[in-house]
Order: sequence, then C-alpha cells, then structure tokens
Amino acid sequence: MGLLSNPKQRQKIIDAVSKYNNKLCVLCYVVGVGWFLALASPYLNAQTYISENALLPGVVGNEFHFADFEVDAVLKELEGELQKDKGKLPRDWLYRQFRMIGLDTYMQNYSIKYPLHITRGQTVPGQNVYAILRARRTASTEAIVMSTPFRPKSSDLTKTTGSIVLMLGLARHFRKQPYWSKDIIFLVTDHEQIGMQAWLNGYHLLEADYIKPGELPGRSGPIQAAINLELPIGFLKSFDLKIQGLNGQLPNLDLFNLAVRLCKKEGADVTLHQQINVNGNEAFTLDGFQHTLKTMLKMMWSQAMGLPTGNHGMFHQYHIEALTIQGIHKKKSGNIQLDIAGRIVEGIFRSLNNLLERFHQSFFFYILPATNRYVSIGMYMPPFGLLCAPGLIKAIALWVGAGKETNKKEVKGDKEEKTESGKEEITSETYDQDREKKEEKTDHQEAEEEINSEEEDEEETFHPGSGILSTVPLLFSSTLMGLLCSMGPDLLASMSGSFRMNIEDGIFYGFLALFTASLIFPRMVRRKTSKGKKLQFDWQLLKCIGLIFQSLVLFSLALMNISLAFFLGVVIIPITVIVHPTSNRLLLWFQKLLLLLVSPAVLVYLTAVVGTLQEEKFTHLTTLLSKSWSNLSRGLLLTLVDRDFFGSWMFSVFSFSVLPNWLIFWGIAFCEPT
Amino acid sequence: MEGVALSNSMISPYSGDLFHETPLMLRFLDFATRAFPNAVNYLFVFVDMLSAIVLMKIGNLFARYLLQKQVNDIQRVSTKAEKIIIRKASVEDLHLYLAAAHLFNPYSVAVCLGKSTAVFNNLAIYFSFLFLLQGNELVCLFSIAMATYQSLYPLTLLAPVALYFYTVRNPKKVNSLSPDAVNSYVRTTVLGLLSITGLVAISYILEGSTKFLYSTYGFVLSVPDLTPNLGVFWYFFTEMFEHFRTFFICVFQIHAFIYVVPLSIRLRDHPVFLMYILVVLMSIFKSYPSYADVALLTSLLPLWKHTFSYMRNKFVVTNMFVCCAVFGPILYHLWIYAGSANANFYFSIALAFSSAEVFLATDLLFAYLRREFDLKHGIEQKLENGKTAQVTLE
Repeated sequence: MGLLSNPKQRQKIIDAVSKYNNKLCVLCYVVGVGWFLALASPYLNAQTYISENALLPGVVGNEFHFADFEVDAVLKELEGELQKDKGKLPRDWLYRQFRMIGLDTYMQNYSIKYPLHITRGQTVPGQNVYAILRARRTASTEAIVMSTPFRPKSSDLTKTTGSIVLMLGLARHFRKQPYWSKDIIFLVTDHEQIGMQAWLNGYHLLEADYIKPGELPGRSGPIQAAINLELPIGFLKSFDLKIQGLNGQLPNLDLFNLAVRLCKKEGADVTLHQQINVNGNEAFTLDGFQHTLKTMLKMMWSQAMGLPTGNHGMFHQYHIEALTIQGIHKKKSGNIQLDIAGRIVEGIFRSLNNLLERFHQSFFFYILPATNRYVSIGMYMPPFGLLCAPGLIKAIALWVGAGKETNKKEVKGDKEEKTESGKEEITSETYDQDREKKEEKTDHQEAEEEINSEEEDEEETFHPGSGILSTVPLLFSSTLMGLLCSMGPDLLASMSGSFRMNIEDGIFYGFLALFTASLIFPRMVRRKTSKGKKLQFDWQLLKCIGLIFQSLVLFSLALMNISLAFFLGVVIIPITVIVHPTSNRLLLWFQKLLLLLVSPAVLVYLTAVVGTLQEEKFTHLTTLLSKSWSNLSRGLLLTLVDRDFFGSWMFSVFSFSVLPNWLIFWGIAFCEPT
Repeated sequence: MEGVALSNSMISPYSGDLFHETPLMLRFLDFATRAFPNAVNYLFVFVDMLSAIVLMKIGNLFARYLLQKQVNDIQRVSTKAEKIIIRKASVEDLHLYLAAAHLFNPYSVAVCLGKSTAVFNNLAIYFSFLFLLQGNELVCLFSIAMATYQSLYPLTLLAPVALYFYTVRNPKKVNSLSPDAVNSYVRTTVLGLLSITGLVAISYILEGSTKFLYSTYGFVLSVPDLTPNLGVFWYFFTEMFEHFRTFFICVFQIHAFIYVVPLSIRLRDHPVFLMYILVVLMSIFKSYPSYADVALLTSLLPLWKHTFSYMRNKFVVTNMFVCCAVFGPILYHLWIYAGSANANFYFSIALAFSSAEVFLATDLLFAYLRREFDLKHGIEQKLENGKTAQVTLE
C-alpha cells in the first residue's frame, strides 16, 4: 500500500516511466520475444518426468503378440469389406468380430445436420461401432477408451486399417487377462471428429443442435483417459504423438510422458510433429537449438490454430485426457511391426489401469520443444508478460501525459480566476464586514458571480474533441462491426442462395465486403469544425483505452491458448504501440500500411499462406498465393462450421475482440492531431 | 423460485438446506408468480426501472442537500478555496449520471438477467437513501429494516441514519455527544430495531415456527455452505479445522461490523458519505457477496463526483475492476469445466477484486477528507519560506 499512498515515491516512478517510455517499450518487447524463443534451448527448459506415481510406466512386462491371431487373414477380410462398400463403415463385419471375441458390442446411429444451409436441411447419417470389455474386478465404475477413426480408401489422411486390426488383436488379448480394474471401450468412428463428437455427446447424454446422437444402447462409467490410434498397415518408421485439442487445450503432460517412455522402452522412435529429438549433447549446440526451436514453433503453430489434430481433441472438453498415436509409414524404410505398436498400447493401458484418481498431478499448460523436454506455464508467462508490457507502459504514459495537460489548462484557468476573485474580494470587503448574514450574502453573491465568470471561461476553452464522450462514436462503431461480423455468417449463407453463389464464396466475399466497409468507417464519423470536416477526438484517451483492451484480450487468450496469444502479440504490439496521429503525410501513410498488414483479414490470409507452405513444397510464389486464397475461403467456412459443431471459439474471439480492437487503432490513424 | 415450488407442495421450505430467502419475500414471489404466470422476468425488469427512478430522485435531493450543506458551513470555508466549491451547474445533472451508472452498468445488467432476488435488497437500500435525504425518518428506518431483514449486514446503516437525523433536527449543533444528541440517537436506533423485530415477528406469525431463523440469519452468520463465490470466506474455511471454525467465524463477522465505530466518529459531520462507505465495506466483507453488491456500490458512485479530481488511483482501480471482471469468469470456467486450473487461480482473482474494492473505498475516503481539508485551509499551502507545500497523509 505504500506505493499507492506515498505520493513522492509514486511520483518518481511514474515520472521515470513516462519519460523513458519509448525506450522501455522497445526494450521490453525485444527481451520478451528473445526470451520466449530462447525457451527452446535446454538451458531454459526442463527434462520431462512422470509426476503421477501410480502410473509406473514400463514396470510390468508387456506380453502382447499376434501369435494365435493371424494378422494376414483378418487383414484380407477387412480389405474385402472395404472393397464392397466404399466409404461406409463395415459395421456388420466389425460387430461380428467383436462379438466373436466375446465383448458387449453396440452400434450407434447418429445424424448430422450441417449449419449455414450447407446441405439445405438434409441430414447426413453416420454410424459408430463400439465394444465394451467389462472388468472382472470392479462394477464398471470407470472406463478407458481405445479409439480409431475409420477412413475409407478415398481419404488422403493416414490409413487406419492397421489400427483396426491391432484393436481386434488387443481386444482378444485383453479379454484373457484378469487384472483389469477399469472397463475398456474399443471404439471405431467414422466422419472423423464429427463421429467422435457424436459418440461423446451420446455417452454424456448431451443434446446438440447439429449433431444428433442416437441413443447409446450400452454404457460404462466415467471415462478417465483415451488413446486414439491411426496406424497404417506395413512397416512403420516412427510414431508421431499428437496432443493438440480443440481451442488449443492440451492433455495432461503425464499422459504424453507415459507414451514417450513406453515407446522408448520398446525401442521405437517417437516424434513430435515428425521432428526427431536431438541427442543429449547435441542439443546444447547452435544447430541443436535451431532444431528444437523449429519443433517448438511447429507445436505452437498447431496449438494456435485451435483445431484438434486428431479425434483425441474431442475428449478434452469432457475433462478426459487423450492423445493420438500416429504411425508414420515411409516407403521402403521402417522396421517397426504392428506387434511393437501393440505392446506399446498394452503398456499404456496397464499404466492407466493403475490410476486411482483422474490426472491432476502434472501440467495442463505447457509447450514442448522436444519429446523429452517441456516448458511449463511458470516458465513461459514472464516472457509473455514482458512481451505485452509495452502496451501497458504506453497506456500509463498516455494517461499521465493527459493528466499533465489538463493540469496545465487548470493552472491557466486558475490564474485568470484569481485576478477576478481578487477583485470580488476587494469589492465585498468594502461592504459590511461584521454581521454574519451580510457576509453570507456576499459570499453567496461572490459564489454566484464566480459561477457566471467561470461559465464564460469554460465556453471559451471548450474543445469539441476532448473528453471521454468524444471517443464514444468510434468505440461504438467498432463494437457494432464486431457484432455484425459474428452475426454475418448466418445472414450471408441464407442470402447466397438467391445470388446463385455457393455458400463458401458467399460467406467469403461477404466478409471481404464487411472488412472494407469497416475500413471506411472512420471517415464517416467526421465532425464539422470551423476548418472543414475533420475527425477529431481525444486520441490519447482512446489509444489508452485501446491498449488496455488489447492487453486484456491478449492476457485472457494467454490463459486459454498461449500460442495464439503469442503469435498475435508478436505481430500486433509493435504496430499498435507506435500508431499516433501526425501531420507528416509520409509517416501517416506508412502507419496506415503497417496497420493494414496486421489487420485481421491480412493476418488470416498470412496464416493460410503458412499453412499451405507446411503442407506442400514451395514451387512458385503466385501459385502459393492463389492456393492460400482458396485455402483461406475453405478454412473460413470450416471455422464457422466448427463453431457450431464443436464449440470452437476461435471465430467468436476474432470477431468480438481482435476486430474491434484493431478498428480502434485504425480510427486513431485517421485522427487529426491536436 | 424453488421456495415457491416447495411451499406449493405444502412442505416448509426451511426444513431443507436449499432455501435461504425470508418468509415475506417468499410470500411476495409466490403472489407474483401466481398473478403473472408468464411474466416473472418483467418483474425483475420493473424492479430495475424502479431502482433507476429512485436513483434519479436521490440525485436531485442529494444535489440540494450538498448545496444547502455548503451554505450552512460557509464560515469554515476559507476564501482561497473558491475553486472547489460545488457549483449549481455541476450538480444539476447529477440525477442523469446516477441513472446512467445504474442502467448501463454491466453488473446491474448481469444481476437483472440472472433474476437474482438481491435486486430487492438493493432497492430497499436505495429507498433508505431516498427517504434519508427527504427527511422522512420513519420510512427510512423501515426501508433499512427491510434491507436488514433480507441480509443481516445493513444493520450497520443505523449509525449514519441516527447521525443524520440529529443534524437535520438541530442544524446548529455544538457537540455531537451532548445529551440531546444521545437522546436523538437512541430514539432512532430504538425505532429501527423495533421495525426489524416487527418484520421478524410478522414472518414468525406467517410461518408458524422459528425454523426460518436458521436458514436466513443463521446461514449468513455461520457460513455453512462453502460454494465458491466472489468473496473471501469460502477459501479460508475450506482449510479450517472444525475445532477453530467458531472462533474464526466470529472474527470474520466482527470484522464486517467493526468499521462502523471509527468511521462514525471520524465522519460524524458527513452522514451520507458515511452511509455510502459502510455500504461499500458491507459488500466487500459480507459472507456471501455477489455482483449485486458491486452493482449497488458502482451505481451510487457518481454521488461523489465532486471528489473525483482528488482521487489519486482512478486509473489503477478502474483497470483492476475491469480485469477482474474479465478474468473471473475465464478462470472459473478453466477450473470447473476444463479442469485445467484449480481453486487457487479463481481465488486469486476474487481476492484481487476485493482489493480493488478496498482501494476504491480508501481512495474515495482520502479524496473526500482531502477536499474537506482544502475547503478549510485553501488550495495551496505555503510554508514559511514561500515554497508550495505538499499535503501528505500520515
């Protein structure tokens, strides 16, 4: 409290901050970004460890092998089924297989209604097949899930025939063991994440608007953890672990460490985003640092996208830890057989079997630069705070500056008043001074006369562009734009039919139109002054408000999805801190250009460019740009669909926080300097 | 609403642990749901509008009171202090500011949307302010009794009311502790307590038993339910051993009530301000605070806008309020729904929010007293060697 009530000390600190604010801002930003990126180096992060002692990974020997279960025969049958009905889940065959093993098998029928009039009201049907292995020792109090998505031959994602075969083999093996204390649910879903969501909705008895789950005929207890498998047939080179879930939520670090440790025990290579680890000593060199930095940025990028990288992402909303094990199959290399994958999964399940409580010991918020090193929230929050500090320092400096200006005006007013009140005092003193009543009267008269004189003073010094009320039009218009942006898709989708455009184009071009309209908005809010139409308002106050709003948005995002907050902050902060109205035309145009470069539309386009770069090799600049354009329009539609299906809040955040925030700064760039 | 359902099925709502409203409120809501079956939402909107109208009236009366008080105290004002004297123009539109502060307040909007019955509590406190400024002693005491009847803490408001009515009756009082004064205080207090007991007696007659006392007042006093909320009680008591619970409950509750004594002594000449500060302290330290209490104190804040220029921490306090309002729900979501954070995260925000309210109270107090000092001694102080002195708080 000393800081707040001791005026001298406070004044010193505040003066220091406002005097050096520019240099301080630059310093904080550079140190923040540098420190954050340096977190990839082994000097600044820590080795992973298993925090939950009950897991005991790899302590028991894994006994799984395919001996009395002929892989080839099953595989032939499965391929036969796939040939028959291309695209549909071979549910009857799966049902029979699970039944033959002796498990409780059930089928779920669900229907999907696409939002935004995509399928014009028609529903698409889907099916899931699942089998429950009841534990002998307990009464179905908890469950663990092994799932795999069914992918038809036409899909260009990793094939999952291997994981279906593995699941059947493991089911047969697990059935014979007496040590299971939790139910094991074997699940095969189709339609990728939609099927998974349908099953989870049905399991937890949730009603949803667009995914209508059918009733689940059989259930078990609450699910503790889930492993999703995407293994193709053939010799695998390595296992890739995928952890990112919806809205950037990650599973408990213990689960990840468990999977890594078990893979190592079986001698299999395990990668994160297909980047193999560097060896111990090599990690400390510059090359090693580059490699770990690349892995960390890849992991952060996929977390920032907010899209789940596999079916496991759907489990996180229900407080179920899950990850995906994907097998990487490269032609003519690789020596990992399906057996080894089976032993790894068996080991994971044995460890999960030991759990007495839900995962709670290890971290939920972390960044991984490698499979054996992690950066926890305590390590990445300080550099992030430094990164966001320039905004707050500038806001304080602006507030202090604005306060000093009003003080100066008051002092001027004071001096004028003092001369006038001096005259009043002399005149009143020449009247009667002894009696109280008369003194009161003259004091009253004095007060009234001063009121009159003060009013005159106020009229002379009245600014049309000062005070908090002048900033209201711009704030109001930016919130309005944000609102329109979030309500836009439904309107645009329903109207695009009459314009004979397909939904994707309708929404995309509609948003482009909205964005251009919001660009022109500041010019529309101009007021008439004596010098013609100008946009005048108290830009210092508005910039202060805008910077505080921006810091608020960035910190709230950092709590939920640190990578998104980081990438957004790195790009936006330098430019928004610098923006100020000047009379220098060149500087003004440069500022406007920079602002355009970080506008939400351009940011989203750049994201599409990076995404396209990751997927395909770089051939030619124009092909890259045009491909990104089409990817962007598809991505926009998919984001909107995700919002309705899964509850992804990326779009809402962008339209309610990032867009109005940016519009405030765009308006400041158009303001006339005082 | 659960109480209404329960009483309709002939079970006393107070036998279980679910219902904590008072019997009179129960009867009122019962009547409302029966009279307007589909329009109970409109009842809450109506209460909101009524609060806004009452606030506007308070604004007008308070402006008149301020100017009148200034005239009364004119001898103690130094001649160098003209700049900070309240002008008629600046308090003319006080009622508009108050209405805006209530209607556009995100907290009061949230409370209205949530259909919390705390709006009735707030309305009773607004009424007490209104009738205090109107000078109507009996009705003012009755509205304080209504507020106390609902939640126990407005009992502390009897002190400023007693002080006010004494000053109203004897504008040229000499000593606040003269036998006349004590007489007046005792009279006001006795009337207030009588109204409260009257209300409790009516509820006893309506209910036919004393079971409701535990559910309403006993609940507030003994804090058995530890659901996390915006206050500071629950976190502390989750970790408390049973042995020491009674002791710490007594400490916490006394803490909520004890500020009346020193503040009344210091602010005996400014009873309305005293009442407001007690309302603020009440909403911080009560056992189950909610957004309704925050709405109450923010909507009454513009009454003191003549002291805003003296407040030193406006920036910090506003930002803290905004940040806590944003981070609170996020961290609650992360804790309960996503399961990633834990109670500590949420409690830290609740604690920061309470600190922001405390900063607001102390800042306001400091500003008010500083203004009084300036009124008495003039704006600029000159030391003997002619330099401008800076006034600090020891």
